[in-house]
Amino acid sequence: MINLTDENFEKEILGENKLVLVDFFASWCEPCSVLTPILEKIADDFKENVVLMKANLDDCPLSAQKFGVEKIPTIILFKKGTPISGFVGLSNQTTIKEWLENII
Amino acid sequence: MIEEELIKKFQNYAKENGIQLNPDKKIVERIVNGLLENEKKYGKKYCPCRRISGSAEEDEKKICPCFWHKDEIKKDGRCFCGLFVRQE
Repeated sequence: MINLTDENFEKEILGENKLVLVDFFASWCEPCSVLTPILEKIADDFKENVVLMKANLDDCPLSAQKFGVEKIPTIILFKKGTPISGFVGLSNQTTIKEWLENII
Repeated sequence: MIEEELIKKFQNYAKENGIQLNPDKKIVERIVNGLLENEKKYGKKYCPCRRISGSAEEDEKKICPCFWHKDEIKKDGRCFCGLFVRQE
């Protein structure tokens, strides 16, 4: 699992050929802690097409601001460094899987 | 302010405003610890589910109970972070 920072954000996102699912979160955010294991399971299910990267707001304040993150969890899907979709807040495994299947 | 005192304060606030704290005590404790952590880091009890911009004016709305919590409870039954929920 790659932990993103403002220093490595662009490099990691641009350097990945698969779709990158970025989970913007914070340590004390309750909905983030619920969503994290769901995302990890989904990333494993979609591992041929998708890579999950974690972005703690404390480590990526500038990147979070750049991509309009106001509330967390915010999930943004990147394709070759460009955000192509995403969602904010808690969601369930079925909904997230359907969302990804429609994109891939 | 310690965790128990803050929980008591929020219980009173919820009662006065016709809402209630999340019945899941673990969720409440986690969020309250986040608020206390933010107070240590930023000086105010900012919601742990919102990005702190650094602009005092903009961030004022994010101090718990935040500017949006009543509308969120009306719409979703709980505030975004899950500390306050609709009265059962």
